[in-house]
Amino acid sequence: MEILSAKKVCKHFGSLAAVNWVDFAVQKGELRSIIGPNGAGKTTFFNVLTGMLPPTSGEILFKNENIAGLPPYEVARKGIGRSFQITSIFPQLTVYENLLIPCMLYYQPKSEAINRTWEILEDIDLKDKAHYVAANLSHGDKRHLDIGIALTTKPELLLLDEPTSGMPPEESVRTVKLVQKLKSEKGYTIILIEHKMDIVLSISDRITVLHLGEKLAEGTPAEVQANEEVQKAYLGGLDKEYKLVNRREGNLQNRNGLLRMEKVNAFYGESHVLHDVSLHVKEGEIVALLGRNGAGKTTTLRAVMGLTPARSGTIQFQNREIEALPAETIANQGISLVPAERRIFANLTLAENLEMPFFMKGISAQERRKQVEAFFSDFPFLIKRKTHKGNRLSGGEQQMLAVGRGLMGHVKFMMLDEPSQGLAPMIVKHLAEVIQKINNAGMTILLVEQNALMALELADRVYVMDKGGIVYEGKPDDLWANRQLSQELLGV
Amino acid sequence: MHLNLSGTVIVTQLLNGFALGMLFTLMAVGLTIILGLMRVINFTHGVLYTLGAYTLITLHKYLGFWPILVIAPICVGLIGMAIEASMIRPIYRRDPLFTLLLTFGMAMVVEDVVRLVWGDIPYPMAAPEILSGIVNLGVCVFSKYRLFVIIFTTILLFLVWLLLEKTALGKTILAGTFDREMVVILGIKIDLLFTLVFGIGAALAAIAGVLSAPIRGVFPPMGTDIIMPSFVVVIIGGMGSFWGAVIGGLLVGIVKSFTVEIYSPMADVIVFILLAVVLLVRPRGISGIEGLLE
Amino acid sequence: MNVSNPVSRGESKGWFGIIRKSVYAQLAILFVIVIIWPFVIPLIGGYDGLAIEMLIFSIFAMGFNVLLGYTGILSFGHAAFFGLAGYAMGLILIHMKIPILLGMLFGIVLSTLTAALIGLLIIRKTGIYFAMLTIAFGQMFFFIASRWKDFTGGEDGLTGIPRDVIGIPGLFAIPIEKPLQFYYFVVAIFMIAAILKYKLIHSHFGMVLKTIRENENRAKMVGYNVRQYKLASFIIAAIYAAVAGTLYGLFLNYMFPQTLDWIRSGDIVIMTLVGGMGTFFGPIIGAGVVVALRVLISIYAKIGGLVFWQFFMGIIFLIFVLFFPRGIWGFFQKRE
Repeated sequence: MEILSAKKVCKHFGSLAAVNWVDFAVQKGELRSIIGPNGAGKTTFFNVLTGMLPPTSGEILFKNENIAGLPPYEVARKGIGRSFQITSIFPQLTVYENLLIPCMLYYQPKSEAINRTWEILEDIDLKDKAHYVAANLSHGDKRHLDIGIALTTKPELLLLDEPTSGMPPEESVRTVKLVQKLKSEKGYTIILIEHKMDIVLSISDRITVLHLGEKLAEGTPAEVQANEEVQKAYLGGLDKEYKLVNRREGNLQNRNGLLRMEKVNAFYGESHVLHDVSLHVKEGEIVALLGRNGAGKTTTLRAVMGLTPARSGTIQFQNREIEALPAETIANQGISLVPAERRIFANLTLAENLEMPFFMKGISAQERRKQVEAFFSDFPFLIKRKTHKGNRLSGGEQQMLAVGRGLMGHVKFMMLDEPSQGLAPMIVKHLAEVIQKINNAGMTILLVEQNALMALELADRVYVMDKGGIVYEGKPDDLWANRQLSQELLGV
Repeated sequence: MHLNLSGTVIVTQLLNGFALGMLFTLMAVGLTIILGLMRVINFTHGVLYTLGAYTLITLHKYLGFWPILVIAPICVGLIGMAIEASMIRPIYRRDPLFTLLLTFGMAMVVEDVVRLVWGDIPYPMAAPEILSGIVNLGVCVFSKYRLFVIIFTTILLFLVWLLLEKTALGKTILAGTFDREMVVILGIKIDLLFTLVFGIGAALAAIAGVLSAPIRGVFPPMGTDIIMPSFVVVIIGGMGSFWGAVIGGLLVGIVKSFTVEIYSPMADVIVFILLAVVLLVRPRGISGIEGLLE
Repeated sequence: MNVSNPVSRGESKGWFGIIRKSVYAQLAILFVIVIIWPFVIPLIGGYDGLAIEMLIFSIFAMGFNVLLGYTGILSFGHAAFFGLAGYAMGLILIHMKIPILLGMLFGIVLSTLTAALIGLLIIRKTGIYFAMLTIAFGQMFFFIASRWKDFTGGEDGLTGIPRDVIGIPGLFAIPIEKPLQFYYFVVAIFMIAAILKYKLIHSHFGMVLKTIRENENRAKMVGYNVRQYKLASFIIAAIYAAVAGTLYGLFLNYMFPQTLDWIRSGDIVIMTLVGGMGTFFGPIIGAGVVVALRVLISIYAKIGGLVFWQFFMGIIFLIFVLFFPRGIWGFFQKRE
């Protein structure tokens, strides 16, 4: 029986179609995983299913009743429970209260609710910690509590959003076992968002792949793995003949080290997101940092930038330790970050955005003019957009602007976070050429990409991350040649 | 209640409203930028206004009126920056409601310090010689001083607008209200920016205080009198919006003036009724949060 | 706001242990203290009137704590409901010969209905925005009270509120004219208020309020209609404020506009914070301490004939906000 059937669901934010004509149906008792590269729209889709966002159009039938557009508290009451990627519990209440209070809404009299609370405590293995204040639990226990709260609402359908997020491998195993138990012993239908491919492939009945807001593929794990389109979406193309740029001649062996990270660990709250990350970048290199979404690539850049400070380990830039410095100071060492969402100031014009980095840096007017002119000679088509406000620029224009903005000032080392995301292939090609040009002029580059193709064409060396740690280091050609390895590390 | 409004009365009240509204706007602009950039509700804005007025009283006999229009904002601006750097900066990372409580407590303390230093009795303040008396505008006669207030504040607000839209500092502030972290990533010391913005807001409040002294007199709780309508202006105009503060201030000032004319007991209450109406019709205010300083 | 109190679970034995664990025992002790208070307070330099004021504000703070401490919502305008009830009761008692209880009821109902209306208008907003709106509406009532001279007496206030007996005509009449008599009337109301609050906090409703404070979004996602709960909490706080307001009017035989202004609203925030948000006894202690401090400061902190209680209250408030956000009672609760 189809317990959930979503038909032609769309969610638009202005002109951006985050979810576009998605049909999605789940059988009762199934464990379905939703995967897809960054920006695929998975979380938005989840939010629409649970009522946190109303869909722009489309139906969502739960047990043959249309729940599209209902407020979240009503969706919950219909029998859909949800857990959260960023742990969402009641911190100052006890574990027991965290579960009892929601239960009281669904089980009367109170004795029934109490019984149910103890049942759930048993299921999530927190029975002996029932009287702990929730804020004092370990990260893994908190994630279990988060799932436990989802169970209180008498759900028939559970939506679990990255339940193992931020957990070390041993704890992940516990959680995976819990999810499997919930499906097989307790009979819940489960929809799962996960980035850890090994988990997804091993426990799912079926997998739905979303890409750029649309459904790309659907099937059993084996079917999805064998699907060329899916691999291409993750890897950014399999056609090795299609060259974006010409590979650099010459060798960079004798260059000095510019950036060195040693055993860096970082946390979001208690979520352990970087595990002993060590990497280095030499002057003049382009180093690619690849991996699936959730692997920790963006966090690594943020750690270097001082935005998500390292809790242990060292980060050296030009032989100076920077891991404890505030972000503005790190930026002024000559490190520039072009963030994933571009983050153009929508309320300023293109020219104003471009010149923002010059503020109070003591750079001469002459030098500024030179840099700005260099930018416009690389991007002549942006000259006529100079006075347009940031929010009127297209995605591609914004990306070029973000890169340009990242070049202004005294920048020696540039980090780019998924610059190709959401861009048309022709623009990606132009972007790759620009990156190569910048590098030829002397800029050292650390390039994070989910689109492996572009990065591997440009890079001198490549690191691959998974689950918060570095799992591969080597030459791009070697990785590319090993099709099985690249699929395993980067694809499905 | 008089509803027979002749042309003369209408114009007079419009102008009065304009003058009053400009004072509200001076306060609201500072409040709204601080709110938009730093997410802080600054209760101390009222006492900064009060300090401006008291600076006038203290230095008036030595320097006259005009120099104080420059000195008061500088002094009070510096005080504002000191307050921000010492007490508010450490609290940013916390709940924004904590900063509200903090600035509320500070406002209480400073108001009493004013009473301590200058006493409880209200000080009357006369307008400077050149500006005393009335001017004939043809359709009505109007207080010279209030006309001056209108012209002066319009020029001042124009300068603030220039600062925001045309200088690098202003653009950085605007960028910061949009995306604080990105400004940090670009290597700009956001903490200093906050302090400076707080100082500018304080300076504007002080000027409002100096200007209002000959109109409303000087007394310790004067800050409270003006901060309430100023908050209302910020909400009506839309939090974080410069033009919202301008339009909101004028709207509130004019409505209030006309209410004084038509049925004066309602004059203070009408501001809140206006707030209720705006909330029902356009909850985000005139320029809304999305229209950050457009 | 997210400052809340941990569960108190002492491990002491003996009488002390029993008292720590049983809230009934704690309540009993509270009631005993409250009953003998007028006889204790002169020993520390107080008088009947002070005791009455402490209890009245305890009632106000108790209810306000439901909104601030348990639901996590900051309102800077609840003094409006305090004053509104006092004025409404005062006006009807002055102009019509009805029993005091009926007059009180009138004031409370009127104030509560107003709170419901305003609550409906603004409850969708949160955080800073909401706080600012409560200030604005609170001030609106202040201005109505101080400008509407013909009706409310304006700045001079409403004088001549009668206070003779509590009773039902024909059935019974208890005199409350003398301070001590009035005090015990307030005690009776206080006890009812305290017991009701206790029941409320420990009911399902009270527990839901706590989840809203801790994580409003999750409370919504598990199926609670959070907006209704927030509105109810707002109104409950208003009811307690209204009750306290009517008692205050009777106490002074007089109502004045400053009972409605934002400074008074600020006082109640201070009382709740200083006493301990989110605890049962916190606000009661807070109210007592703040009222006593106010009087003490009025007596001793005089420079040149001017009283500077606002200065000292402000400093104390700042100290608590910065260093003891859990308040007096919260400070002594053991953390689990």
